[in-house]
Amino acid sequence: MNPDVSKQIHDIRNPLNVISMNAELAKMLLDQGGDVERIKHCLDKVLNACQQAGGGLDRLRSQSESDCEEPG
Amino acid sequence: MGVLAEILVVDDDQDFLEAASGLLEGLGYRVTCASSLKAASECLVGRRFSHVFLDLMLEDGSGLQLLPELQGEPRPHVTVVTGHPAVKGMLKSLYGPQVDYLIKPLDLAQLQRVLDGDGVPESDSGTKHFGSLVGDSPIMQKVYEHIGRVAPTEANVMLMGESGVGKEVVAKAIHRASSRPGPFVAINCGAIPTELVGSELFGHEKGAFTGAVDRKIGVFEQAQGGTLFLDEVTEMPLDQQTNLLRALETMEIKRVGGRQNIAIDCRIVAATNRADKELADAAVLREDLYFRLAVFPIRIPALRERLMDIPALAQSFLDALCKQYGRATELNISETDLSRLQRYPWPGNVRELRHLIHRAYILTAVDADVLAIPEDFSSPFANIEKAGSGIMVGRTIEDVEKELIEGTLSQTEGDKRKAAEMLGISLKTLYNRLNAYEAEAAK
Repeated sequence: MNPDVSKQIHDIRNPLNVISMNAELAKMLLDQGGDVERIKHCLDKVLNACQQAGGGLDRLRSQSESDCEEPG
Repeated sequence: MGVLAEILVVDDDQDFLEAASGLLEGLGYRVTCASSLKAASECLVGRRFSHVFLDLMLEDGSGLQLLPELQGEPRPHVTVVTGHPAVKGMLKSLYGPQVDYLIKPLDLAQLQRVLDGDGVPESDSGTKHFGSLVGDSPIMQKVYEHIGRVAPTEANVMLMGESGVGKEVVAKAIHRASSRPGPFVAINCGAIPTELVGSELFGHEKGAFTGAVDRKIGVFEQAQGGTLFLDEVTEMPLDQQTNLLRALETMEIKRVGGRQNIAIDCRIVAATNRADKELADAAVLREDLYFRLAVFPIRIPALRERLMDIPALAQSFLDALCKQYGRATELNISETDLSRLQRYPWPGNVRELRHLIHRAYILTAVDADVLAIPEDFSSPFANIEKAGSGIMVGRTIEDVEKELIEGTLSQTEGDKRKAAEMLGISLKTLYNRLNAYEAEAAK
């Protein structure tokens, strides 16, 4: 696998990780009585991370497009 | 087991650190965060952690560089977190089973498994039932069936069986099969001083009694949403059993010195070494508490009731040892030795077998391919144990004598001189008896 692609994929796992941890944390906070401010904070982090992951996928796409353009 | 642990999380992603520490603190752990190798090293100075989560890619180097600093006793449980599945395979071959590996993105269930000390389940766990139980004998198949049926329900389970049959392993299997999101928390009711039982179970508020310098979360709260394993529940003092009963009836607890009722939501698996009859006779367990705990009793057979499982059990212990010690060559057990193992009564059950395999492993040469099981591996308790039990009334003296002689011969592996000595008769008398049995059989 192209090492750059490999790195891009790895870089997308990071925001996914932030999403999963914040989702679990929000669930736990809800079980413990629902600290609304903290839960909103978790969800904001989820939204941020989604943006980051989206950016990572864009970079991945342009990376693979430029790879295809390379002369064989 | 019922003790708050210290965790170190090392990762350069601040958002991850924030969420992960919130999550782990919610589970009852004390968490320290570090976002670089340098910061992590500083955290390790003069402090002991029970768990360390290590990200591979840090801004100032690889998380692996920290491993040498984590070698001091007591060694913390290390989990490496990586984004590369390929890297996981490579690290496993370098560092072996000393370290756990998780791949991003993580979820709570994975963290829990690592923190419970179960490690990351191998995808190739062979034919282990529920991930950890070995043995396909018919009597164990019934146990697996029971586990499968009771696990998804809310019913409390009472595990009954001799010491060393694997009650805690079965309890963990029930927890795993139940897919409950919370943790598996184990507590040995026999090991806690009487004065501290209430505090261990229900926790205490700061200042509740002399020595209560902080609030403590008891095991009921720690097991929230998961499974609570009460080992040796019959050893709990009777007055505490009353408190336990009330907790099970109301599904609420109150911390020692506290005023608030706290709702609990965990599944209880209890265990006892005592036989059925003993439970009633010896008045060790309140009858009403028994019925609450034993909504679904499961009897775990003694090893001697499932001798055909011994080869599989021994091999699985052996494989685990080879992996643990990083052995280059595979080790097997000879057919003769397997027969020998199956002729011994195992008063210490599976635990005794596991320890014997470990002892044999230590005695085996580094380059050997067959396990060196010692000639005599019986424990001091093997002969005494069988004396009082198993005497059934309603049989003739001749029958009992014949069974005793045959049993003794099998124990001494056909050594008639030794058998006669054990039986307290002369060798001549033994031969006479044996000839008589043969003559009878020939009729």
